[in-house]
Amino acid sequence: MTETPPPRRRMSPGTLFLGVALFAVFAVIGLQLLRNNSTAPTSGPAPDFTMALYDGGTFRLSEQRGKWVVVNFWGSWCGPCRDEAPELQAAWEAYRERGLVVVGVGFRDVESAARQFISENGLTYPNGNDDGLRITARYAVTGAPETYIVDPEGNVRAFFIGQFANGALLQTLDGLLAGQEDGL
Amino acid sequence: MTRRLPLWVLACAAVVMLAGVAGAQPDAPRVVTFDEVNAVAQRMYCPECENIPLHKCFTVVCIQWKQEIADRLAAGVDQQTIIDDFVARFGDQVVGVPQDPFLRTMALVAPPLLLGLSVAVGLWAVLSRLPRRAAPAPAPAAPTDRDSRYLARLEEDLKQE
Amino acid sequence: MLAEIGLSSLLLALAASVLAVGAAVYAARGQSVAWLTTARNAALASFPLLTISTFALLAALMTQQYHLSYVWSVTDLDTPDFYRFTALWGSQAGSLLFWTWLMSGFAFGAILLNWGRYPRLMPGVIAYTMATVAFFIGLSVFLENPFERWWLDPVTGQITASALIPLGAVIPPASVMAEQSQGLNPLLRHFGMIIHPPMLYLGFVGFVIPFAFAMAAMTSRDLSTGWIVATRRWSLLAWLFLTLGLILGGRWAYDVLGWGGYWGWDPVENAAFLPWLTGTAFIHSVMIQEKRGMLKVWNLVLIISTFSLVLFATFATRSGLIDSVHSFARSDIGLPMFLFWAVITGVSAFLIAARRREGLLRDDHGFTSILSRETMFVLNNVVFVALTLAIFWGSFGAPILSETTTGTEVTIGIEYYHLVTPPLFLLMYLLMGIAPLSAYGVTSVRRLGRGIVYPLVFTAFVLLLLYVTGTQHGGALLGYGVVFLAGFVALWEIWRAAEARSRARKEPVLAAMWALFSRNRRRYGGYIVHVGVTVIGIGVIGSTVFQAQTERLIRQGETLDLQDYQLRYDGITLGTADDNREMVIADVTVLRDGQEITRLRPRLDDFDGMTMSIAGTHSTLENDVYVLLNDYREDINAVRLWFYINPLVNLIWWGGLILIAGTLLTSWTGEGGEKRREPAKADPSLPTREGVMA
Repeated sequence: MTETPPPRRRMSPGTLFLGVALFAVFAVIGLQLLRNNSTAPTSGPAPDFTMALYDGGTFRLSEQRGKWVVVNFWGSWCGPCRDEAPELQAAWEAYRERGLVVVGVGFRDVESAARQFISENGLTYPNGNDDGLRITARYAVTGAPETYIVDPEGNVRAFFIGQFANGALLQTLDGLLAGQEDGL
Repeated sequence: MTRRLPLWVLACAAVVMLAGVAGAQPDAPRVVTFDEVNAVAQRMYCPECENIPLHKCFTVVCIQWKQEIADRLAAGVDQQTIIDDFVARFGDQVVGVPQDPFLRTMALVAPPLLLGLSVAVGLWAVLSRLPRRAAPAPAPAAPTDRDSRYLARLEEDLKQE
Repeated sequence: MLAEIGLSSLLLALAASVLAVGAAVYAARGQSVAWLTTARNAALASFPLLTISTFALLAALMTQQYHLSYVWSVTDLDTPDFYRFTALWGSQAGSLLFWTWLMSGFAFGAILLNWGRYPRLMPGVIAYTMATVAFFIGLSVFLENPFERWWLDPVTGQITASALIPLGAVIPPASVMAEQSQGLNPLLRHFGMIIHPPMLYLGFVGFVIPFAFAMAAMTSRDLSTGWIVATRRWSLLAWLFLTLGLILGGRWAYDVLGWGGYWGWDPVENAAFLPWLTGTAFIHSVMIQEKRGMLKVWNLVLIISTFSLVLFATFATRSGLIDSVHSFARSDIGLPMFLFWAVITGVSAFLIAARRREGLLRDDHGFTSILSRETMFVLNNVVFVALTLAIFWGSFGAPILSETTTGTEVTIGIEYYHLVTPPLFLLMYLLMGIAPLSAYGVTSVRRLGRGIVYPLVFTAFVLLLLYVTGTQHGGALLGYGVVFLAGFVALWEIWRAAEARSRARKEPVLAAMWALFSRNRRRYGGYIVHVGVTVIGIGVIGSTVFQAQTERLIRQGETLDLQDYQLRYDGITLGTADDNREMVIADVTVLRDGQEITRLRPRLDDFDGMTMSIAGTHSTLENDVYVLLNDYREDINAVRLWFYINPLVNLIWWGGLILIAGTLLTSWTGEGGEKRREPAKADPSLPTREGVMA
């Protein structure tokens, strides 16, 4: 490298431009790669969201402070979602009084099919559609179903990717809620 | 007859679609054909299997979506409104070119700009290297008849190769 | 046993290629012949070692060694032998090994054949090819090891995959592993899949040779045309394989994906098309450097872009950067591949800039006229680069930028490409028509005019014929016009030369043609390639603009009309194939104006819940009748059929064959072929830049 003669002229604007452009391409693609590898928020504060509900009104996660929240991403087209729906409903019925909210976030679902799913499964907890897929983007959802349990302080405490095993949701909630009451 | 689930779902969806399409509701007697649904669906993309146009996709979601398109067409909604509603509900991912004005402009304006830039660079590369006055063309001895003139020139070309 | 053999030779290959890089670098620094010989031997050793590795994996696949997790994941007890073989490239780990093996084969050939001829370039060539090979072997060894085996922990009963034996683990019972094995992705069970990926990979990896020579030329500062002469046939070979891979890929999509089309503008397809575009530009513009010593920087940029795009395509498809039907499952190799791609590209770009500053890349000649072959080639390059940029933008630029800046995921689909690319393709064909008529240096308008008159007349005649027979779509006529012109120019140039020679020398025309072809294979082979590309162009325009389709549910005995064709549903056959797929086959009769022309059997295959629609097709030169079975309704005995008429689609495959013939002719060596030439020196008979300035 010592034999390289001193630069004869300054770098031409064209070369500089191409160099910067090349670097920008690398940067953007590298960023995207890192984003793609970014995982779901399995601990720490749960990303806030607002969602219009099928029964009217809106749901806002940050307004649920002081309550446990189960956030379930589902679609009527997804078989496992159908399998786990009864347990979500059961959790809602069992823990409602103890300050638990279950909320269903519809994922890539047309409204008529979603409503049919809700009535077929007798779901009474709030459900809405993720318009423009903004919530699912924030939670890095890769497919339905995915389920989060958020504690009264708004932090993610449990996460199920895909269908949770039969009874696993109730069992986890039992543990979490009991632990909290012990702490009090 | 034991056939697997997806085929059943397909069949059921087809029944539902036919029922919806063939005018079960008396106030919407319009019959929507598959071709009409496809005309809308081919401008959209399958939501879960990226880069497959919706009309060529037969997963459960796609069948539901096409059903939705058929229902809305039957209700007299026009193509563009249907697509706009899908975009509002599922994001710009579902169409071939984003509907969002900013993203659309970004997607479509860049190529002509790139072309213009490439042409400009190419022309500059040639023009900046042209002599100020045209050099006299190398004049080969001009044989008279056409064939040998052509052959002579060909020879000359070939010599350079 | 096979796993041990495969793994150990893979490790040895890694060691050999790393040693080759080190020795080559050391040899270049110290001008040491001994070290260079070491580098060569190590480099040459890596190919046989990888061959052992690849064949060990192949043997494991064929002999059903399900304790190898790769074998377990791509084959099962029902897999026919034929697909056991293709399973070698059926999934990430195997195809990565296969890819690397092919690349080391190219390196082996190039080093062996060029050894001694280009002593100054050899250290660089060895270093760059072997660095690439070493990187990919590294991926195979550390991240995607095809020789990982299943191990059973006798205490916990857990089964895990690992390349090395975990402490205290035992081999799980063979029968259990065989039972649970997964089988090949059904989409890959097609004849086209045997040959399409290997062709594409050969095309991809082949470009490593011209790339390494170019880099070696820059590193050694020996920037004569040596690197170009050495790699001309390698580039053509790689280009041929890539072209074949793309065409066969189109055929596969047409037959298997059930889209009624051969090209979906999918990001992964596009990723393979990008290096083809820059590679095509390269094999054209490199001729200008050989003959006139011009466009030196530009040719380096093109070959480096081509190889960089090859690496990018490999990275984008295998890392999960983009999602597509074609891509592999996500894996950990994304980041290392990205870094390798960025480093290779960055270093190459830096080297070009540095050598340019040193003044080593100054052209021997300037341009002498706007109307010259050089200018035409520059314009042709501009079009290819613009196409590359536009397709890159649609496949990667816009979607990635949108996601990183606004967080919105977007799809850039067919609509975009149908808007953006046709003008560029038209320009490409236009230049393909004009450029062969222009001369080096200066072309007179008269010469151009004289050359183009007859092709123009022929084209006008064809267009008139088309118009009269009912093709009245303006855009299609414009497209046909430009494409036909390009083809007629190529044919006319061949004819004109042969005829002139036969008259001047009183030879029969065919003998004259033969003589011309053997005298200049590159030129006339090139024209044959142009004819092939013309035929493909006609097929693409016909099948894109005039495709007709309809989808309907019909009962037994009913017919479905499309243009002057009718489709009658006659009955259904249900069955199970030997690989356990359940098939629903519709029997349909195709009629034209009431006359039966053929019977077709479109079918729906169901592999454990994954369905695949296999078209029934009737091919003629005029069109393909293409029928898909979308659904079967047992209750009312009705089928939902999707009926396509794809005009002229066969020309695409025929054009491909012509193109292959032309390329083979171009690169044929031997008696009467092109002789090895000295690197081009400034030709005193032509005005040089200095000459003009003086």
